[in-house]
Amino acid sequence: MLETLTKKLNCILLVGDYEFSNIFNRKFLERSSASNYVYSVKNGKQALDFLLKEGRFDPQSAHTIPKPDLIFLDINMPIMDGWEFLKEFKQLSEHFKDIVIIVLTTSPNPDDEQKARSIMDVDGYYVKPLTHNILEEIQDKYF
Amino acid sequence: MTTEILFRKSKPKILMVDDKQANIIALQKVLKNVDAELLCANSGNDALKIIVENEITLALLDIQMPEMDGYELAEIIRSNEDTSEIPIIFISAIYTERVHIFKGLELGAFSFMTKPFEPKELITKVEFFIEKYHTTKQLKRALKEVQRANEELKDFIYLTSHDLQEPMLTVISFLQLLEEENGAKLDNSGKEYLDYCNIAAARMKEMITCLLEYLRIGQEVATEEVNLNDLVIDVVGELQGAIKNNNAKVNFSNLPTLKANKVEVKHLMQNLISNAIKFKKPGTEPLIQINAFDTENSWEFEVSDNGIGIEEKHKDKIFQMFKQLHNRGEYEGIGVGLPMCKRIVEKYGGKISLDSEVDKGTTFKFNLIKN
Repeated sequence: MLETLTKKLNCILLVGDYEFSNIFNRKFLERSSASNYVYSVKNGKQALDFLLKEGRFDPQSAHTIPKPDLIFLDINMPIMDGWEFLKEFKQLSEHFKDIVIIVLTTSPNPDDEQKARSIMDVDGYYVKPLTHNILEEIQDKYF
Repeated sequence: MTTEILFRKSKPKILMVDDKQANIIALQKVLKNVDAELLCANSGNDALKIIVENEITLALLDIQMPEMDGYELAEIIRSNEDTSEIPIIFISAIYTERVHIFKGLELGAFSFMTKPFEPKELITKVEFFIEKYHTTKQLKRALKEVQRANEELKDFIYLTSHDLQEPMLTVISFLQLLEEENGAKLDNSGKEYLDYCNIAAARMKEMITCLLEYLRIGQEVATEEVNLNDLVIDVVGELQGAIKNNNAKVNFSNLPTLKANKVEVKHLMQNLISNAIKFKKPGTEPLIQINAFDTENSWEFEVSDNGIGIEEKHKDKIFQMFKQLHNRGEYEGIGVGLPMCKRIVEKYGGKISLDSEVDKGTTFKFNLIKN
């Protein structure tokens, strides 16, 4: 049986274009009761829209969208990749700065890891798959 | 055929140097039918100017000339790195004694012809160099093509491996979910099949990871002074588990400090040492000896063990990717350690080889070129 985490977050946003990965992560987070809401978007652009409630996340249609406590960000995505998203995120107002951003990627590439860790807004770097240990570590460190 | 014709379009250049215009004209007449561009110079200085600006296939030099004679000119050509390979034929009427011929040959001349010479003889020699020019060009082009194809193949393997990670991960992730959510509902054969899937998926994941790592090795550009004594101490520390379990001993002394990428050299040592432990003789405590020898241009290393040894016929195979000599499951690993070692050693301009006797042990030898 999976243990339930000590502290439940309100909202987690998954950012990645690989559908199966999102399905698995969502399932995993739901099963470990990590968060009240788990949303997933396909790329950095959609993640920005989600945060700013723009595009298809226009407040008219999605006024209930909460601000995420935690973002799991993939690197390789079409349209706007993880690096580009982080550049845009840097420009956002203070309101968003308490969001914990964890880079969760497929490839254990040391260059990517080094690059990610050098970016202020990135709080952690993990290689998929998401595990209980990773979740626990994130909770202990940031929540 | 088309490429053949294209090649022929670029003509080799033949330089003729003689202070007497009449001699030049005579040479031009003899060589009028050869398929080459004929460049003429009336002095050593003029010749050097032409040599600097042109890629010369063959130089025909007169010997007696004012200011700079043919021998001096040849010496200058030989001493310059860019021109030292230009073939030279001396043509002279005056120095026909053997001693002078020898002097010409000592200067690296291809041949020494005395006037009057048989035109056919000169034409044959010139045509030999024209043919050589075309062959070399073709070979160079073919080599470039092979190198390009090789790079493309590497990129292809890298991209494929990289893109395989995501679906691979999906299989592993959902196998895990399947086991957690539905494992209890499966009967024994169902559980068995799930186990096979897990084992195969884990192996596939390791292969992909290793392929990517293999391709990354050699891309590292950062170098530093690496003290190999410290490095081997580190490696031994990291392999402490295996060393203790097998009562292994690793002996080394006076290993050098050399300029290299630390991660790569560590990988190299780690693979060789852990192989020596892994392939120990049953019932024997592994004894590993590491030696280094300073030769003029490189450091030579030997890593010896008292393990099971490798049969002569398998010596080349072990450096091939994913090749294993033993039945699967008999030894851990997937067969990338030694190919990785080979790639690292070759990056440092060295070679890796082995001496081995079955049931006695193996000595891996490799060298790393200084600088």
